[in-house]
Amino acid sequence: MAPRRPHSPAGARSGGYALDLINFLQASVQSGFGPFIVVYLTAAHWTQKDIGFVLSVGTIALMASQVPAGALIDAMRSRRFALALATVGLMLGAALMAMAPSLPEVLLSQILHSFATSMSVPAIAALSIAIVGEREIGERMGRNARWGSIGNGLAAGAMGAVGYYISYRSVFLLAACLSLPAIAALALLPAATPHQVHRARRAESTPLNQVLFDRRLLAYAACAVFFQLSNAAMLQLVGAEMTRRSGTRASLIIAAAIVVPQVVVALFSPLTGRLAGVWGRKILLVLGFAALPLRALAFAIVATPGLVLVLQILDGVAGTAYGVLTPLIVADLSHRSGRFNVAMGVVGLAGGIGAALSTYFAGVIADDFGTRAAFLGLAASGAVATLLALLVMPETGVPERRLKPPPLYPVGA
Amino acid sequence: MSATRGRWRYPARAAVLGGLLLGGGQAPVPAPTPAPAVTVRHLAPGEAAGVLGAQVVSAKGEQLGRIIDVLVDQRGHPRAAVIDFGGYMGIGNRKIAVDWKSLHFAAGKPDSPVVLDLTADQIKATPDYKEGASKPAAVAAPKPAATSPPAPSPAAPPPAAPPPAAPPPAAPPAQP
Repeated sequence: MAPRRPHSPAGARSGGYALDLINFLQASVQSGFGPFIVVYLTAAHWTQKDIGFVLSVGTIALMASQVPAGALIDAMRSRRFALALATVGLMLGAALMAMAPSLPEVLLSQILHSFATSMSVPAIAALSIAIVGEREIGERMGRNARWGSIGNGLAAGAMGAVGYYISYRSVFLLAACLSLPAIAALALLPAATPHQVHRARRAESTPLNQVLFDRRLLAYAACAVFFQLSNAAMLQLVGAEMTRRSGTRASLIIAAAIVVPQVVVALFSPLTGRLAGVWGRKILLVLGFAALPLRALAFAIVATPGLVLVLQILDGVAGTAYGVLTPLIVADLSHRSGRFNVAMGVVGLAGGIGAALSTYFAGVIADDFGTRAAFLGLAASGAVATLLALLVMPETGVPERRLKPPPLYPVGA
Repeated sequence: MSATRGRWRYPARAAVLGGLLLGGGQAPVPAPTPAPAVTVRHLAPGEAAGVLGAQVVSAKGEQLGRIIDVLVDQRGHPRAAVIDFGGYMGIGNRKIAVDWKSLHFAAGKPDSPVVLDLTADQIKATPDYKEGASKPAAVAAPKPAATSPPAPSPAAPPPAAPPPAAPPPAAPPAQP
């Protein structure tokens, strides 16, 4: 749309409110799934086996759809339309879940939700790049993470209250209703890329395998695997330990332990994005990842409730680095190739595999050798992630002064 | 070629299949053997209710969790209930087995919570219940377990039921 945008925080700010709002609404819709499904189905007399089954179907669908969804968005002319489509999927998924807690509806809802999530995550990042351009992308990704975190936190709180005081079915109805403004907000963004431009860009896009087997992308995918392998199970493990010590009073501590990192992400993401443009990506990646083994080690040694809350700041630090730098690094590697979304899919798949393995292995180790051993395992994996970021992962960012002026062709969404 | 031949290698079977498909309507349905007549008994409304997913509260009214499974012995008698206990938004919750006799059901009132003789503090240290484990399952029970039969598995110490047991409310639980 506007080819000349001043490179300044003010510039990003003036064009960015719509993206802030979209990130906020998307994250709120997303928080309607997750933990509420288990309570909803348990209260509907589902057995744990059946609940486990539908959740696994959801996880498998999510992993299987990451890369294809990315390829689909790359091929589409409008990222805005892709995100609208994904949001409709989220809405239908939530509505189906609210309709009846019976197997066909719940299965279909899980699959829809997984496909939609696989599309919406890269589509938001791609939209952001298309709108702010290369120069302000760091700050933009930071703000995306900030508003996503705020949306997540507020909606999760509101939905928790709705579930507690009204019913868990209304949580899904609320999520379905929230997707309407999420779709409407897309009207604030510029229109799609014109046909000719899109066709021309598709014609000169890099061959798929050249992007998929880019050594730097694979290195970051490996970082993502070990990051999630260390991160995904940690809060669950801490929470169970808290429950073991404090009974139901632990619920309050756990709630605070969920909120603390979200506050950190909301506070520090924009700064992280800005710094990534000045210092480069690598140093921030290493620093953020180093918070993981530190936190896991500390949990292995001491885990008193007060300290848990302090240590959850480190969760926020790691979460900020991962959340802001992942789309940035992927954009560095693939932005000009026309394969950004498929590359996001690769990293998303890698993270998903790490997260699934994390929960599994943490459970097994905690069962056989105790919680402390499980924390040590998570710490080891976090150390591997940090070392990969330090030794294998190259710097992908271009120093700002060497950036070309913003493109002169009309940028579409 | 060979595939085609292979498909028709069993003409008899194909014929049977065809017969079933074509003449399905007229196929002699085996007459229903006079099965032992089923006597249908009716449970009065509120006489019995499902327990999966039922909320569990302590005698003091604290929310403890939900029943997610029932363990029965070889004769089908319930021995313990598995409770999804504690946590917040699906994080930090644990599965804990509690003695069946420590649960009190308010029959006749749908959706009324099940009352457990143990408090949250008493069951918090109980080891997690693990499904299908070869090791004996830890079951939390109130201390004066004089009425309960001897533990079936020799290795299972009546776990973590803390010494200061709550006075078990033997009377049907008052509804909060």
